Amino acid sequence: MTLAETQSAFAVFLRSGEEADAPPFGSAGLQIYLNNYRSQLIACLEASYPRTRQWIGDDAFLHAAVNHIDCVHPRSWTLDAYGHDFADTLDALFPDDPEVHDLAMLERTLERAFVAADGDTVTIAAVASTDWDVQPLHFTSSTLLLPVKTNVADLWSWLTEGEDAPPSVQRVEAGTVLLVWRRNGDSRFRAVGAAEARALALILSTSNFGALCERLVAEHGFEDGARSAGLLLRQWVSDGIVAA
Amino acid sequence: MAITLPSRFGLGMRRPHYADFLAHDAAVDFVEVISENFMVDGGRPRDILRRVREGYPVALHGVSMSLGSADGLDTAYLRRLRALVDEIEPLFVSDHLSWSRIGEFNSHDLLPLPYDRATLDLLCDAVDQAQAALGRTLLIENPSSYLVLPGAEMREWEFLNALTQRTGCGLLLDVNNVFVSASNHGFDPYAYLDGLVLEHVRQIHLAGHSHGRELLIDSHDQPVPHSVWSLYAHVLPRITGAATMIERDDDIPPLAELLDELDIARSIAARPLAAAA
Repeated sequence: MTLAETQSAFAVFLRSGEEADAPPFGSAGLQIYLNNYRSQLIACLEASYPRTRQWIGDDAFLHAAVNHIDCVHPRSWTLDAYGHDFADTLDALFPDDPEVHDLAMLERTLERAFVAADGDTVTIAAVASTDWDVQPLHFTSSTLLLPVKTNVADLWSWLTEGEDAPPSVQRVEAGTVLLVWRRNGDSRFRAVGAAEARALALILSTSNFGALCERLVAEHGFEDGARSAGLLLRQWVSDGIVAA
Repeated sequence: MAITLPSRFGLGMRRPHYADFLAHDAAVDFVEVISENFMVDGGRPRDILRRVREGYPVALHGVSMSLGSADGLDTAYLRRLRALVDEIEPLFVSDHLSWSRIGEFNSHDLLPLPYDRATLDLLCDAVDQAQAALGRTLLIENPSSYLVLPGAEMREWEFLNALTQRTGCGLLLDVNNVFVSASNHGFDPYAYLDGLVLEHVRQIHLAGHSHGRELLIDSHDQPVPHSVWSLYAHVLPRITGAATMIERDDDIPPLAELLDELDIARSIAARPLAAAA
């Protein structure tokens, strides 16, 4: 058996966990490696999705984690990447509970923002001296938009702070998004209305504040459109998402 | 009276103790971190490491280089690690004598290798490539193992001796791993240490293990046991200038308990040669 064949046989066994796939290396040792493999992946998912686990309960979460491990095998050098598709597994397991997918995606997006590249941000004082018709408007690397189907922001508040009964799950308007970003080292989010969501998406795709102004003026007239664009820019600078 | 003192005593930096290390008030000579935990683009993890580095030398200890993969090293991984190395200027960079990845599958475990000549050739090429990519000497850690792959042509220490001789890499000697593997595979841990060329040892790990149904498990969730301290006391007089640290990854106690354990290592290192031998 070549090294490649040995390692492939080992990998087949770890993925399936089936005795029939066990290579002839010594069963007691193989079981330890199998247990290490699966328990580490479960621990990874538990660490990555604590709020989702809190919402659906330990037993349901463990069932989902086992299902994920059976279907999705780790590929990346970093274990942190393993849970990236966990929301899809949850979506398949909880088709009538869209908030479960939303919660998992929110946790995943907050984590992406948490370790996104560093960068300086524009201050309120610097905004007035910048010609935004010429200067590209870039958001920080941690600035992310998350489309949601439910009032997941309310659920999150309850999961992190609430002591009363949990809020009822409600569907939200199509096109509702959460703006997720990092400030002072901590990830955060806020719900964004449809108009701001469209504006954010335009800037993320074009970095062109002038194009946003033109669109808002076309939609609302010169005075209201220009004022709306100015208010949005002020809000984003205040949030700390406009890159210097 | 001649005595041998390792140059440094340190601890693995784990999350419960971040505040102590950020305050730079833990009485250690260096800290070791898991490289992959800080190989992120930015944010708080990287910031914490920078600030800890201002107070302590930092050793980068990897678990994902997968030096023994039959299909070679992950060059994107090496580039990312190099960026961290360039920023942190670590005391040591280390990884394991093991493999984790084959094809599109990454087990995220330190899986055993067959100690044959073909695998040695592959490991030598991988270590050469890694050292070139990182621009520095790599330390290779002896793993704990729970099975012996067929086809072995040499003992683990002979394999490591050949690897260090051919590549110039250093060794991270994990004394607990020697004990665990010796117990699991029925060899004499003292013979292992006596057979290893110790001049290449730059760093020493001390840790605890737990008892499985049939085998010892390298769990890092216990204090360093007497059996491991005995091996440490046996080998230390023959090692010059290595950095010793306690490695604890689970059931992590208050920092003071780990510092007390580290004091045991210091006291063993301070023994006169004749008493330690």
